[in-house]
Order: sequence, then C-alpha cells, then structure tokens
Amino acid sequence: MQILASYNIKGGVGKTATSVNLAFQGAHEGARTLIWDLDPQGAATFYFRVRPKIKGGSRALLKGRHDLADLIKATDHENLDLLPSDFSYRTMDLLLDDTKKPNERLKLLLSPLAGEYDYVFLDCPPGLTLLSESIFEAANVLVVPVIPTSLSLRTLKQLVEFRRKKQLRNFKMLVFFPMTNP
Amino acid sequence: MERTQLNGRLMILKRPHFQIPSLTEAQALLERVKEQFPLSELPSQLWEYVYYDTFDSRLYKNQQLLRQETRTDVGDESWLCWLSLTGNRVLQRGRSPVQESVIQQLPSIPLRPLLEPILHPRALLSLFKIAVQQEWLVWKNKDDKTVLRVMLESTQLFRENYLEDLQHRLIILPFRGYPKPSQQIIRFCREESLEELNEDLFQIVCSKLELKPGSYQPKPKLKLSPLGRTDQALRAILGESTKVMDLNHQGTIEAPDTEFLHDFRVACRRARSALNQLKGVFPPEQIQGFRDDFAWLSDRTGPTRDLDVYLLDFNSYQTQLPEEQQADLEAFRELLLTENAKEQKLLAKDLQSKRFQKFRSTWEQFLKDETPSTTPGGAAEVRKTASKRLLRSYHRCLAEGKAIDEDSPDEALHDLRKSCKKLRYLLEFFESLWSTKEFQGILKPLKALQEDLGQFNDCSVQQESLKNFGDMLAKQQPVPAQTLVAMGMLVSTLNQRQAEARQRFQGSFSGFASTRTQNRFNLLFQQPTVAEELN
Ligand SMILES: Nc1ncnc2c1ncn2[C@@H]1O[C@H](COP(=O)(O)OP(=O)(O)OP(=O)(O)O)[C@@H](O)[C@H]1O
Ligand SMILES: [Mg+2]
Repeated sequence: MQILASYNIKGGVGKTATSVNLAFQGAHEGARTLIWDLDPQGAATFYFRVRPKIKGGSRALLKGRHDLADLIKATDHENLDLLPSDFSYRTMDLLLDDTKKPNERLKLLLSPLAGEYDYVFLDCPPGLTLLSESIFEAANVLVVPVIPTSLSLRTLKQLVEFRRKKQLRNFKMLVFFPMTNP
Repeated sequence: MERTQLNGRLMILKRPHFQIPSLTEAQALLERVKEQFPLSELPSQLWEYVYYDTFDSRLYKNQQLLRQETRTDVGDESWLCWLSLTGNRVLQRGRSPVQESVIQQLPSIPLRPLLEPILHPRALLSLFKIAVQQEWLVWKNKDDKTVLRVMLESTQLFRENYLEDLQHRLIILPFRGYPKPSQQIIRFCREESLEELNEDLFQIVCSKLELKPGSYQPKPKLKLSPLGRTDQALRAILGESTKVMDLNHQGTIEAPDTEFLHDFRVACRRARSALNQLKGVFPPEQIQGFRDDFAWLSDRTGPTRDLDVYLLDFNSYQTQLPEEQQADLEAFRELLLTENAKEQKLLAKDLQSKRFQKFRSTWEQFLKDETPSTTPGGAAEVRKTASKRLLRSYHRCLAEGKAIDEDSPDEALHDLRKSCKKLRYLLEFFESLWSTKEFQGILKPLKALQEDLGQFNDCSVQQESLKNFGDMLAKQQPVPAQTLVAMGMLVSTLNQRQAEARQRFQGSFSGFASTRTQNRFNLLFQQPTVAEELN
C-alpha cells in the first residue's frame, strides 16, 4: 500500500484537484484506491457527493474507537473509496497534541488497511501543523502542487527547509505546476 | 454489511447472486423491483467473458478464477477479473489490453504480483467463453450519490456453432458504507423465493463441457491387484504413463510454458524404466522396437528441457553473483533463448513426425492387446515379481553406495544416482501392493539420498554445460569478455555446492543403508506372497 499525500503549506494551489484526479486515475486502471479527505472544508468529499461526517468525529477517530475500515464509503467509481471529511477535523491539531507520539498517529490508523488498498491518497489541508507532521510520517510520497507565484515558491522553500532540518527521509517529494500549460 | 477476511488480509464485499428461472420472469421481476425501490435504469451492456487457468488448474485449486471481461457493444473496455470460486467475491479487477491472448502479459499493476507466485512457471490458457448481457439499475440517495447497483445478467455459452443459454442472475452490488439499500433488496429477493447462488457460472459451464478442473495428475496413482499377472500390471503401468504423455503432447509442441515438456518427459522416462526394468515380462522381440522408441524420445526431449531449466533458474544464477556483475550474464541469457527456440522447433517437428505417429499407433495396439504374454515372467504373480525386483534393486544401490569412498570418481556417484532413480520408479509403480504406512518408512531415506545425489549431479552437469556455453560465446564477435568472467564465477560456486553435496552424501547414504532400513526392505519384500499364504 502506497500512501501519497497531496500537500502544500499554501492554500488554493490545487491539492484537492491533484489528489482527486490521481486517485480516480489509479482506480480507473484497476488499483484499489482510497482517498482520505483530511481537510475540514470537505472539498474532496463534496466532489463525490458523500456526507462530510464520520461517526464520533476526530476525537473518536484519533482514539481509535472505530475501525477506520468501518468509516469508509464507496464512491460512484469502481475501486475508489473515500474516507470522508468531518467538520471536527479543524480541531485535529489540538487533539493530536493530547495523544502520545502524535507524529505516528496517522500511520498507525492506516496500517490495518494495508491489505485492502493499493493506493491511499491524503487530501491535506494547508498549513504546517502537528497534523502535517503526522502526514509526513505516514506518507511514502508527498505530491506538492505549486503555482508560479513568489508566495507559493516561498512556502515550498519553507517545506524543503523543514524536511531538511527534521531529517524527514521516509517520503519522496514530487513538486509540480498543475495550473500551467506546458 | 458483510465483509470477509480472505487470505488473512483482503477484505472484500460479497455480491449476492440470485437465480431467475426465465427471461420473462426476469423482466417481470425487474418491473416489480423498480416499483418498490428508487431504482433507475442505465443503458444495457454486452460483454464477453473468457475464463483462464493453468493446465494443472492452479487457480481453481486455490479456490479462485480468472476471467477477462471485454465489452462488445461499445468502446474497447477490457478487464481482468480475479474472483473467488465460491461466495461471489471479486478479489481484484484490473484493466487489461484488449487482445485474445492477453494473458502472457498480465497487466503489471496490481494483479501481476498477486498472481505470479501462484502461476509460476505455468501459463494461463483459455478454457471457454461466454456472452453476457447486463441490465443495470442504480439506486441514488437524495444527494444524488449512488448507494447500490443491481444487475440482471443473462449468459450464454459459446459452443462450436451456436450459443447455448446458461442462466439469468440478479446480482446485488453493495456499496461500502451504505448497507441499508442492499439489505432491503436482498430481503425482497428472499421474499420472492429466489434461489441464492453461491458460485460463479464456472462450475455450471465446466459440467456442460465435461471439463474436470483439478483432475490432472502428472503421476497418477495406480491401483494394481496383488494377485494379478505381471503382464497385466505392466500394461497398466505403461497405460497410465501413456495417458500423461498424451495429455501433454500438444502442449509440448506448442510450449505455452515449460511444464508440458517436463511432464511429457517424466512420463516417457517412467514408461521406459518400466519396460527396461521388468525384463522377461514380454518376449524381447515384441518390445525391442518400443524400447528404441522411448530411448529416442528421451534423447529428443533432453536438450530443450535442459535449456528450459537454465532459463527457469536464470534469476537465481544472477543473484549468486555480486550485484555489479549480474548484468554481465545477459549475453548468456540471449544465447540460451536462441538455443532454446532452436531446440524447441526441432522437438515440435519430432513430435509430429511419421516416426512418432507410427510409434504411437503400434504402441496403442500393444497396450490394448489383452492376449496374455507367452513368457513365464508375464504369467507370474505381480507381487512376487515386484518383491524380487525391489529387493534386487535395493541391494544393487547398497553395493554401489558402499563402494564409494573419498577417492571414488564422480562417475560412481552418478551411477548410484541412476540406480536410486530406478529403485524409486519401481517403488512408485508397485506402491499400491503394500500398505502406505509400511512404504513411507523405506521411501523417506531413499528420498533424502536422492536429494543429495540430485544436487551433486545438477551441479556437475551445469558446470559442464556452462563451460560448453562459454566456448560457444567465446566464438562470438565481439567476444563478451565480462560475460565469460561472470560465467566462470558461476562455475566455481557450482563446484563449491557440488563438494558440499558430496559431503552430505555420506550422511544420507548411511540412513539409506542402516540396519533399520535394510530390515524394513527385507521384511517387506521377502514375505511370502498372498497366494503362498493361502496354500
Ligand atoms: N490544473 C488546474 N487547472 C485549472 N484550475 C485548477 C487546476 N487545479 C485546480 N484548479 C482550480 O483551482 C482552485 C483551487 O484548487 P483546489 O481546491 O484543488 O486547491 P487546494 O490546494 O486543494 O485548495 P485548499 O487549500 O483550499 O484545499 C479550484 O477552483 C480548482 O478548480
Ligand atoms: Mg483542498
């Protein structure tokens, strides 16, 4: 199971578009694919017409009270499932702060799904938070959409710096411009 | 919703199937379903399903199926679908290229890594084809999200000149996280007293076509009657081997994989060994011709098989070398592939030649002929003959093995290997005349000895051929020097392994020659035969 996070510190750069389209493409080819909408805005969840709600919200989720597997919804597309967003995800950072080893939380939650999916796409909210660090720990690949503006490039620099300083070596970074014509 | 643990890791939704007796009933049912539930129709679809398995039914034996599903009305959609044999679960479905014989190249992601360990080294062969008409219904909730699909599937089997009706099924495709709609429809189907099916169409079609998946046995277990005559027993032994040869004949010619030839060759060798070892059962002039034919077949099948083995083992050769030298062997692989193709062509020709056809028809007459043999050996009671041969064969192996010491030449071990093989064949031929439990006690030490002798022999044969292949490569222009170096390194690891096998030989031989094993042999095969006991 490959975990690919669509991530950028900056908002509105095409993260959701990237994860939704890559996940769809993978599923279309026959790979068993899950997309986890980690953003409380629930944009990816909205695209698939799924209710942005999970039983017990972030708290129950992080405490491991429900099997992640039981929260999953099938989308209308074969091979493509969704773990919906929930408004309570906005408090995820506070809750993570309360857990032991917050960095490893996401990875731990995802591990039981290893036999069920070939790819998991994480649609991440913007920002560089505790949740982000947990994402860095879980991901095999960070897909980073950037737009050619100085602010966007500045956040990319911040990310690269952060990765170097914290010596995060477990994921590859794929940086690309989604919104420019080649 | 029902989820199932499969192979300890995959969790797959069950897709309940209900049988519908006729097309008119199916249509009436669809109308009733649409009245009761918020289902809307989608355009119908036409598909063809081709089922695949290996010649020895590896998927079937694993409780699995593989079928290629190809859309035939519009577009060029094609999928490879890996299914559970029972329980109606789709294990995995991957897009596949639209071609008749896709299967040599499984789509790389994600089916290949899952299937290859099961299939290797066998090829997938198509078994049969069915035509499928699908009527689709969808259930959407108030957010316009699909929460269930229902499909009416009508199937027909492709026969030579016509299509034969198979079945109409209503298939429920539940959506994960939306259990209620499927529960409601399933309840409806049960109230309609529809029969729930727990199996794919596969079984139904197999029985129509009289296919018996999983029945192929490369070494059929013979059941001989202890009081029977030896000539009858020998004909039975030869008949079984001939069946296996026949089953593999076409596959050996076409060679979709290496195992047809392997099984064909083993069956030949068994027949040959039976003919040669049980002398005097038929008059020599009656069987001399056949002995020549089997010698010829054994000779003709050898080169291709040897090359097959090299190619099958090639990756392990590569991993024996340091990483930076592994690529150097590629020129060697090329050579093997070219030689293999050449030899395979010759073999295919031989197996379709006049000589082969003549052998096969006279051999058939011989096997079918029930006239008793005119020799005393033919009339003898089979258990008596078997005991005598087995004891003699065992004592021969003992004598040869005991004569081997540290200074003996390699040939002494090769000869012993051949003698042990003969003994093993005899034991297999006559196994049914004794109880299984008694037999295991003598088979076990023999197998252990054969294991070491086999290793020893393989290593020595391979060194020899590597040197020959090296000579062939050295004549190429330009000379692939690194390849020759890498092959030289292989020779020395083989040499090392051969020496290790020789060291182990003393241990396994002493088990084979122990007083305990000797007693077992003597006790089993010196007993008076049943007829003598009765007298
Ligand atoms: N390749 C593209 N070409 C044109 N428009 C795009 C492309 N990718 C995304 N967009 C548009 O850009 C906007 C932002 O995209 P998206 O929602 O994917 O960004 P995001 O990084 O997920 O935003 P947020 O930080 O709010 O989650 C959307 O209106 C989307 O339709
Ligand atoms: Mg987004």
